[in-house]
Amino acid sequence: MVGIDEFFKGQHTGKQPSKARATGTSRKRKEQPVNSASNPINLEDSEDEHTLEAKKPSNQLKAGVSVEIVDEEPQPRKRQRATAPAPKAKASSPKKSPKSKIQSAEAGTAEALLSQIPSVDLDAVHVKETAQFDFRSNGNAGDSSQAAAEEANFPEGAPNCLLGLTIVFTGQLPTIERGVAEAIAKRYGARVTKSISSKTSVVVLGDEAGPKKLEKIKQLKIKAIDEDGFKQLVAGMPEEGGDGSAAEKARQKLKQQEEKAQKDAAEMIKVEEEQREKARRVQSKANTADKREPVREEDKLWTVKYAPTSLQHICGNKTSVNKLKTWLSNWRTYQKQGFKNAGRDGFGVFRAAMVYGPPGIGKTTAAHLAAKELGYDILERNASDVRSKSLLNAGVKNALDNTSVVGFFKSKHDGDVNQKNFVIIMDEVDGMSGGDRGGVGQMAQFCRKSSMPMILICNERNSPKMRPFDRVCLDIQFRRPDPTSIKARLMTVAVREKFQLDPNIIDKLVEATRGDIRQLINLLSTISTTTKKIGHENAQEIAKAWEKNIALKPFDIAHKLFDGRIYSDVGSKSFPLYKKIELYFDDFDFAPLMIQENYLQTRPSVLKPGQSHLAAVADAAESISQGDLVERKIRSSEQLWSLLPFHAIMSSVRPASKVAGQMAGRINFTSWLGQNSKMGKYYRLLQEIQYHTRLSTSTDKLGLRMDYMPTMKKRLLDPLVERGNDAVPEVIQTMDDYYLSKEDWDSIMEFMIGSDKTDLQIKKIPTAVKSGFTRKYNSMVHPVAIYKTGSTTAVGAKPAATPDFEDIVDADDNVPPADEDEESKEDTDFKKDKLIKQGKPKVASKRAGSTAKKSAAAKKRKTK
Amino acid sequence: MTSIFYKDEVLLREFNTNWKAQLTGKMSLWVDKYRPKSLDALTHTPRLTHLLKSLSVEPRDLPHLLFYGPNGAGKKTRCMALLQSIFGSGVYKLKIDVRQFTTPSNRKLELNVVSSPYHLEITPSDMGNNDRIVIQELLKEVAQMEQVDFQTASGAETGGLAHRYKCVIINEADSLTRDAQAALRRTMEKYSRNIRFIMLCESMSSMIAPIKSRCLLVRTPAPTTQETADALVKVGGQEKVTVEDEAILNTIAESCDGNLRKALLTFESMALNNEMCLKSSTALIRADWVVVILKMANRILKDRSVSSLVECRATLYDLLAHCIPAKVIIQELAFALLDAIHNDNHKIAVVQWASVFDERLRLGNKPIYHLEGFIARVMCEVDG
Repeated sequence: MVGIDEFFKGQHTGKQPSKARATGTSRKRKEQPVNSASNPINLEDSEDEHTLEAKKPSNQLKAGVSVEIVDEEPQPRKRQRATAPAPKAKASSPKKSPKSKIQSAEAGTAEALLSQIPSVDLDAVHVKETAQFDFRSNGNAGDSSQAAAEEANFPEGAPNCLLGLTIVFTGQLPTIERGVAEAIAKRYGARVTKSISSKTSVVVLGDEAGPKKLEKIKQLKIKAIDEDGFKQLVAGMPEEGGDGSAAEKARQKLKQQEEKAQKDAAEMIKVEEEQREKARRVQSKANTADKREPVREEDKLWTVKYAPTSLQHICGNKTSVNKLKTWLSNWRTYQKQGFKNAGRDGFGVFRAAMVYGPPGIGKTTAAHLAAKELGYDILERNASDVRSKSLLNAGVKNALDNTSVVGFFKSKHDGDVNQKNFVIIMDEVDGMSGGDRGGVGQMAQFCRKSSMPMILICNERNSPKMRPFDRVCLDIQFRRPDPTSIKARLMTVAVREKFQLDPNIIDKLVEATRGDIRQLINLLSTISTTTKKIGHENAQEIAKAWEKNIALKPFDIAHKLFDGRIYSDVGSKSFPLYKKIELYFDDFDFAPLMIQENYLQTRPSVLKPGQSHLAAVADAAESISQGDLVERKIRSSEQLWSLLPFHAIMSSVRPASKVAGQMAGRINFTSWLGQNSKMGKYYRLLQEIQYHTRLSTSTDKLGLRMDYMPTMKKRLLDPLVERGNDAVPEVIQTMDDYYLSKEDWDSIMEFMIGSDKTDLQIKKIPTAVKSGFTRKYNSMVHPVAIYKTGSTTAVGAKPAATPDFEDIVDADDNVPPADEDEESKEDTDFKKDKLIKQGKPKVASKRAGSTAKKSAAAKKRKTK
Repeated sequence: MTSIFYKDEVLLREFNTNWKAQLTGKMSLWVDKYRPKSLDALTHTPRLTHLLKSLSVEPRDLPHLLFYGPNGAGKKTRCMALLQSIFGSGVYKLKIDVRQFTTPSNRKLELNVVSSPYHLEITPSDMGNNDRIVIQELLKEVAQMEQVDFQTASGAETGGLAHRYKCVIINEADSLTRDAQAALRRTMEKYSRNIRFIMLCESMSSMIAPIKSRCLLVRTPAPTTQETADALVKVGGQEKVTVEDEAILNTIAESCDGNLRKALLTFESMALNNEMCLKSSTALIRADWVVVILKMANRILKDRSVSSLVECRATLYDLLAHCIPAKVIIQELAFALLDAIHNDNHKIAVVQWASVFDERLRLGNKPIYHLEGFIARVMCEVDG
């Protein structure tokens, strides 16, 4: 512990004025409330009335501590009492515990202690203005070492000393971070809420508290204390929250919880015993036939052991579970109505349900339990099965119309209708990947016509892969359960496993695992092997180690970055800049693209006064544009990867911050990739066309596209539209002039955009003309501009032989025919050659004999 | 080794007729049909023609040439006419063959090389960043080879020595990377006995100084409006287009900003659409993409909202995907906006933002970002 003396010396600003106040006038008292030097203190007389008003006794406080509000007159006396313990502690011992005992002896209840702590003068509190946001100071928020130091600086209280108190922290506390203060309060059993209500027992006020909150405090007449007051409170309160009624209540509640956990555990043990007994009996009946020992309870994974056994046991998501159950139980009714009648809840048209949500919150369990409770047999397929289109057809399709064999035999005894039926559970639908070709589409198809209920389960409902399931499935979302609903279950587990678990830290663990119950139980299981206790000492550490370090998907990144709340002053404290940058780093290829795709789709909540949506969008667009320059530096030859954080700001965080708010629709996947590859395709086509036309034109690719193509289209398409078959020879002539193939013709048509789009015009051409055109074109021989000569090696400075030069042909005619060996070699050569059509021996033979060489070649061909 | 290409007589015939057709000028599009084939036939900029003629008189010391000038000003035409005057009409007997290159990373690349017996024509920028390999391998290979002077007969008219060197035309020289340009500079000097370069580019700004200093710089200016109109009249006369009012030709010429190619193509389009008869009232035909951009400009000014921006994005993607370069889009868009805006302050703002985002287009990677930013800014400015 840091020396108490020092600690108290450190807060002289808080103490001394209060002493002074004890003797001084009421005006002097006003100087004390906030101990920060930077805090302007309002000394104006007119403020006096407000001060008094705030201190009037309140009868409105219902729950918890009815804070005793002190009147103007008796105050000096009480002050003396309040300040008394401090010097005493100083004198008696530097150790905390004796001191707190002394204090608790003096003030047994929270009410009494609170009344000793000076109230804060509400009007003197520096109200937050639209202050410049200083990201540096907030950047420190998550600095754990600092937080730890702050915590160490804090006086230690008795365990659970704040039990039963509801505390609200507001504004910036002078020496400790708000988050830390909240953690401290929670540690001592207090309930920490964000907003002030009539149930609030005490407000800890800091600098720059929101004006609304101050008003509320005044209105509800709640005791407001400052940081020092809070310290005193913690230090002064006796163990288990003293003897106050609220503390008593809270204690009882805790006790109840514990008892319930114990009861549950006992019950569980009982059930287990029964089961074991049963199993033993069955085994003895079946006797030696089955020697296999059942898995011992102790050997089971905790997650299996403590898996919910009925729908009631599922933590949280009650409505979703009910929705699933209702749908499944009414499924036969829906079927009888032919899935035409939507019904009041709109479930009636769905043959399939899609359960989705993050992992570890009981989706699969819920599906199984729902089926089991309603007596359905289960056919499950998950990612461990190959689920391609053909295999689904082979495996699942047959099942769709069948009834269960198990159910058939069972139903003889029970007569349960559902027994004959089964439900198909398709787990991990979004895990369908490359190997499962066509699986998703096929599955969606099944969803449309299945005569058995289907439950599909996935994590990512929003991903484009899941689009086929839109409107074919009943969407049931599972959310992360909140800590309170998990608490009871975890406590049961802890009791059952004889494991000490402090209920107050469950919140922390839940937060660390992001509501993943499965992981929580795994976590407990792991820790139980090493220590037998999770308390405050190791909670932090454990939480840190188990913090889910999952990279978010691009959709989630965009969703989070566009959330307007994280850019408010409050939000940016809990989600500071570095965390926003971390979002970008979760997928730094996609994050900027997703931001760019969706930044026009938000309803901004962060607009400055007078700023239009359009202006905000323009700012965002400009930032994105600047971000692109950074990206170029990173990805080009310079490879300045250290600029990535800068790119994060420019391309993602900053633009998102300009337009953040609510999303106006679903988050779209980036279209840039698709457009880019489309552009690539068109550039390849253009290159091809340019190569072909190059002999006749003199322009480059872009000139060809921008200048030639509109006119070319007029030459190539319009005659066909206007004159039909008559124009075919003319069009073909034009194509030959430019060495265009039929494919080029098609691609030139594709290039036209806007009102000149050719689709409609092409549709207008009668089919007869079109096919006539194709036939005519194919029946003719066309000049080809390009042919491949194989490799570069053979060709020297002299260009490769030119087939189309008359003069050279003449010169070559004098060359004596090459001998047979060479001929045969060449023969194989031109088989590969595109230019030489082997399929026309007739023509070749007719013309054979013009020169010796040519005839030799022709003969060769004839012999084949 | 030349013989293998003469095997199929049918094809040969086909080619020959085709070549005859080409040489006698029966191309379909007027712009190619009436392309001047010799120095004497060149129409505009007589001073330049004079210079080229004087170069062709002494072909033995033809310097390396660097033609620069705007699109459609006739760089290639002049270059070919010059070659024709040196080597004869053989230079128009073109063919294309595909050459394969292997990059250091073992990727196979293909480059199409257009060649006649007297020259090669390459577009190294087709290879993107690998253009250096083309320069190093192909050009060196060509440059190191002594040209065999086997056709002494034709040599007589050009002084017998003209065939000693081979001309290499490098298209789009301004898009050569710096590496490629550096690879080129020494080749230009070392093998100048065997090889002459004729480079064509739009702007010299991206050419490195050593290259510039090794070349004779030939500025090829765009024809004036009058010269363009004259060219149109000439073509129109031969194609029997009735032009009722010369004003329409001027309108075409003006709309094409001295791009003679564009002017001729537009002229042909309009003639085709109006049964070979142009009146002064005939509507000017703009290319499909220009129409799209004009429409977008109107939308930007009329409906300044975020939803309108979303639609603009779709249009931009469409334009970009169909190979309209971003710099052309921003330029056309800015001019279209300037025409439609009447407030001077807004005009200044448009020009300012256009220049800002034009720079970013060049510095950045993803054109759509900058175009969208430009439109958003313009909407804001016009909104006030």
